[in-house]
Amino acid sequence: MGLMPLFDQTKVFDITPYGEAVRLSNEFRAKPETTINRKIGNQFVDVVIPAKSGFDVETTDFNTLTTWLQTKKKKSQSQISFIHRILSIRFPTEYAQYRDNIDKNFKAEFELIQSQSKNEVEWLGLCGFQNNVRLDKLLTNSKIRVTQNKNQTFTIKRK
Amino acid sequence: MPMELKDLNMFTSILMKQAMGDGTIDFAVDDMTSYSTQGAFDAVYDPQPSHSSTNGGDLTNDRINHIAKLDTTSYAIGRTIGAISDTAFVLRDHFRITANTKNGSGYSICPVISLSSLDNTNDDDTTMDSLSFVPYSDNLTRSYQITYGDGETPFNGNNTNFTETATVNDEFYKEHTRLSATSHKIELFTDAYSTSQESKTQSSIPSTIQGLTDYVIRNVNPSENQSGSMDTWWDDVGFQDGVTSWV
Repeated sequence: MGLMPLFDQTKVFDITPYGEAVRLSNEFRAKPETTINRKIGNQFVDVVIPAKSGFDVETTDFNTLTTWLQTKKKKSQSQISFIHRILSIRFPTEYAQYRDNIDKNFKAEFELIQSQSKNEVEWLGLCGFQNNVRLDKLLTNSKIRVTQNKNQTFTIKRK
Repeated sequence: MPMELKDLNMFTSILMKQAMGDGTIDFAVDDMTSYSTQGAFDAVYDPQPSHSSTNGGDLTNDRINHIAKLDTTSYAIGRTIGAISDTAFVLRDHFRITANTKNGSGYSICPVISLSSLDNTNDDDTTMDSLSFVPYSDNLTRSYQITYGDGETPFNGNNTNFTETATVNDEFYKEHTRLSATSHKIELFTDAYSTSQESKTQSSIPSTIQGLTDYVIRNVNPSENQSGSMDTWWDDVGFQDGVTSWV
């Protein structure tokens, strides 16, 4: 099983591919029960947010990741791309054999992810940005120019 | 009846379009001077439940009036934009707080200005996604807020506060930008987008906030209405899809 180092949480607020990868990965992690103090009506009351089950994308097993892909829970396109990219890096052999389970709308993306797979956190986080969500350009708008700045942030403008 | 493959493909293409940001739903800054009749104004900025001095297009002054107040009616006005990118957009508008009253020790009356996945006929809907701005006025002492909702009412404790306090006669130009799937920013300007007053970014919003379609000015948490009111007007609304810099 391919493991990867835990992402650097100090970069979680960066509007960069690394920061985006940290934030996307945190959407899958287990969360403890928390209590927030919220105003309801004219009073502040404690509201308990129940614990949430989850997993760490850096260390979890292949089946957990593919099971998440198959669940019918609400997902974003960025989350889906992110998990596929994690699979391609951490489990290249098993992922290649996963082909028959791939939806036909994702077949081209599946091939491209494998061919362009990079063991870099920045590559994982790119899928949270406009025109970078999918490699097959299905979500790419050719009228938009995406420029990466020296500080790794993006400027996204009309051409 | 089970969903057929053609329906699934259609559904998938809709989802794809939502995330693409193809720019076809852009509109230039609308100074609201082009509407010659109330009907024309209301056709673009739909007041719910109906046009009134509390909530609706103002032909005399070329702007939207919205008064958030205690009422059994949920006043909201909105403009349907279309399928907005899930990763990048820029929304601009211009507002002024013209009056604000309180009654009692505190209250939460104010508008919430959202890009949301449901139109202005929906308030406390548990399936609604939204990215919002709130001139929060609790006890006349609160700051502006940037907030989000993921399958919940737009104002749900997910806020980040500005330093700037919502005060009568405040007038700002506002720019709301989605920077990525998991981040958005609101910047207030004291003039037409050259002098920044303050900017706040929320950089850990759920990427599952998606399928946004409508620009809506609602009363914040109608079920929590207390007392008092906040009078505002809004104009110069513009939108660019799929970008993070206004051109």
